[in-house]
Amino acid sequence: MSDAMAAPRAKRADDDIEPLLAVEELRTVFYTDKEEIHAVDGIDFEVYPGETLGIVGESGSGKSVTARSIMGLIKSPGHIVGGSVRYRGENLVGKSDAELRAYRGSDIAMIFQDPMTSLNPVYTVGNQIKEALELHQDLSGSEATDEAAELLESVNIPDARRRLKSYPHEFSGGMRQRALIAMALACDPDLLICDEPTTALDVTTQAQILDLLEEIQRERDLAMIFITHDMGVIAEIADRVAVMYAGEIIERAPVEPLFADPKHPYTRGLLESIPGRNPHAARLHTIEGNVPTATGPARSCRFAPRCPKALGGCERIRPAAVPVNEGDDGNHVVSCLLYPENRSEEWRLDAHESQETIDDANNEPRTDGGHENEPADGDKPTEVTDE
Amino acid sequence: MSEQAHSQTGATEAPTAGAATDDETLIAVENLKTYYETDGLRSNDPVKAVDGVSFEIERGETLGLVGESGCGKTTLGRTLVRLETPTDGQVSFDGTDVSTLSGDDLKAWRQNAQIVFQDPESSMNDRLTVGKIIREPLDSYEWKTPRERRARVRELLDLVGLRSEHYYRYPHQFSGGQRQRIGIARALALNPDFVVLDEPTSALDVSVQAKILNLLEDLQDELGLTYLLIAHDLSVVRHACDRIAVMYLGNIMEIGDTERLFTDPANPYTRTLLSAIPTPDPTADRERIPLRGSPPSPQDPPSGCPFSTRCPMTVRPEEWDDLSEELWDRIDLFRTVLRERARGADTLGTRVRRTIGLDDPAADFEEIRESTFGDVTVPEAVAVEVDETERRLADGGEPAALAYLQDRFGSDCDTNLPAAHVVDDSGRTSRCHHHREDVAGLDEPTSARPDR
Repeated sequence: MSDAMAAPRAKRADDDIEPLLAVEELRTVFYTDKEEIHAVDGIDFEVYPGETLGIVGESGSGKSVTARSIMGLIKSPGHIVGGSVRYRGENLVGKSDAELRAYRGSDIAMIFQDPMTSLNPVYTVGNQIKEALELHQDLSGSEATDEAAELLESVNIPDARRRLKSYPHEFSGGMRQRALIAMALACDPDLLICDEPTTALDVTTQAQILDLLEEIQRERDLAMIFITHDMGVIAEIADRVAVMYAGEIIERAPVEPLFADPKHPYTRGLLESIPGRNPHAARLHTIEGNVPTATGPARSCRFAPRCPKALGGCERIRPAAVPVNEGDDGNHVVSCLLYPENRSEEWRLDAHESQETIDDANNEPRTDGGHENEPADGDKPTEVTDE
Repeated sequence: MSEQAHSQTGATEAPTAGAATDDETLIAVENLKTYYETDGLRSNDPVKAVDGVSFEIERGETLGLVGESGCGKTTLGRTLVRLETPTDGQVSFDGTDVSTLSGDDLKAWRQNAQIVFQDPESSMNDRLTVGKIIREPLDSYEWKTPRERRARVRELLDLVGLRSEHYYRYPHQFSGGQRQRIGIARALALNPDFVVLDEPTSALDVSVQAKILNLLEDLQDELGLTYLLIAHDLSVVRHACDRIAVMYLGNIMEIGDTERLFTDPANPYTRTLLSAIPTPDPTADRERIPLRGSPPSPQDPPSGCPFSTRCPMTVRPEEWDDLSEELWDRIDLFRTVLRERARGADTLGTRVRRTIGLDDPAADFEEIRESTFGDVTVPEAVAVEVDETERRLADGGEPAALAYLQDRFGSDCDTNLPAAHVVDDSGRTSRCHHHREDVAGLDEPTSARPDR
């Protein structure tokens, strides 16, 4: 079953279907008086048309900053200091606010965690949907009202026409999130970024919203980036998953292999600590220590201090994203010195240190040729210690 | 968490409480009600947060309390430790009724029952040191000498996995998980028998949550604690609890052994709730039972079964036995739409407009008819009822229309609160009319509705 799921994705990467969105070496840093926070520290991923990429991580891992960086919503003291966000090949990083506005909504739309704060309490829901329609579809008057009612109906709000006249406070939490999804759809986007859209909702409402998003995706061939801390939600909605830890993506894989056979020690620890996956365990597995704050660019593996499998090299080499086994199709990628599994430890340490070796050897999809990696340059260790 | 065998008294008839009744009962709750008085302009109905619940908690066990937000689970927990005063009913603790205690008696009893709050950010005073926070209950009860109190705090810090040098630090210097440990230490300061854990891990990341759950389990083993664990995360409850109570709109819909409840839920609401949990396994089959509409207001709960307005498995009157599932479903939807409208129309503005004839409640009736019945064939018998509903709506507004629909399509579900039927040999009980002898069971194909 997992092969069946993975195959079309693998094909996609091989067939050179252009990704809708390609994020490369993205870095977002927040400068405060006290310190620099490297909230997003050199991440890569692509989103292909019609698929759902799940980004999962604990609080502070940089998932929301990633979403905001894509949308160009990073405000001072935060800055995007490097990398690119390519939407249909066009780099969005460095574009002015006015230029970005052309993309927001009509190409890339976003829904947030708390639906109440995203709606204006003094206008009716209908008013707010019609505003979006007027801006993006150039509809107004009764035409806009018809379209707005249709949109509300499409997100399964019964009695839609009457509901247009309601104010946000008259809606339940789930209905507000539906209304926001309707507003996002009003602009007919190709990519929808969902930042913890169900976290504030009850499980029953969450289930409805997840079903709705899947239905909409099928109908409109929408690509989604779905950000959440909930592994259960990821398992249900994502086609591929990126696991974030302290500003970095430490593992990327199609959803089934990720859950069936997680490779990074952090992903393993995280999955083992979920009560839902281990209902009969007498004790829950825990990960020692706490998530660190990234106050500088990564020069080592940030998980090493908590890792049960840390090697001598973990404290001084920043792991590159490599396939689980050398020669794999590059769909399951891990940033860990334990991989590629089929190579000796010495080879792996060397390879991770120089980085390009592995990239070249395996046509890893994220690199279109061996582009130079900044962190490796500035990161010259003194000596190699074998364990 | 405890290893007690709950099934040993399987044959016990326990119509009001799910627990096996033996002398190990620590807390017995009977017909407990907690209402919040309101003084609204239009209605003085109280908010019925807890509306008549009965159950028992055995010494040393963990009872889980689950339900959606607003179902009254936190109010129930707070009432058990007397942070709220019950409106009616009894809570006996170790055999004594504590629901009417006040003054010194209440204070003296409170040492036995403590609570850990959900949000470790807002449940402690940021200006006090951690030591002072944990010492406060000891100071308040003038427990032994100040020196012994300080020693006790150090002991507590150690007990919850913090270090004694943390005594002089402030809460803001700690992470969420550590703050929750401080909250647990404070709750344990006076050596209580019973601790209410109100969503103790819902503000925490999973890896931190695992640590806190393990800690709570260790403390229970070590100190012989009895827990009421309130949570909306059902997987947490399944992991940690011996028995589970499922709450909806102030009522306990089902209560019983955790594994049995999870593997073979008896109540339609429990089934719905369990079917909604996202499983962290992408290969799992899911068959979700969809839930219609929004939960009713606890100020104006449905007159029969609390879940009747959203239940996908309501009992169907014999008269309509031959309607197709789809059509019956549309009739349900029709009623839901009118219910939602009734709620929306219940404002001063609408009332005034209607009185002076500016708002006709049936003006856009054709739209409702079209959106609910537009794509199905409606037999004459049903069409007649829909026409009559329109007339009632025009004359008496939504309440009149709803009353008519209830009369024509309603059943016991709409009028009578189902009794708590014993559903298995472990004494699990469930409130649903389908458990009655004279009504077809939920899994019997004749009148049971498939889960779509």
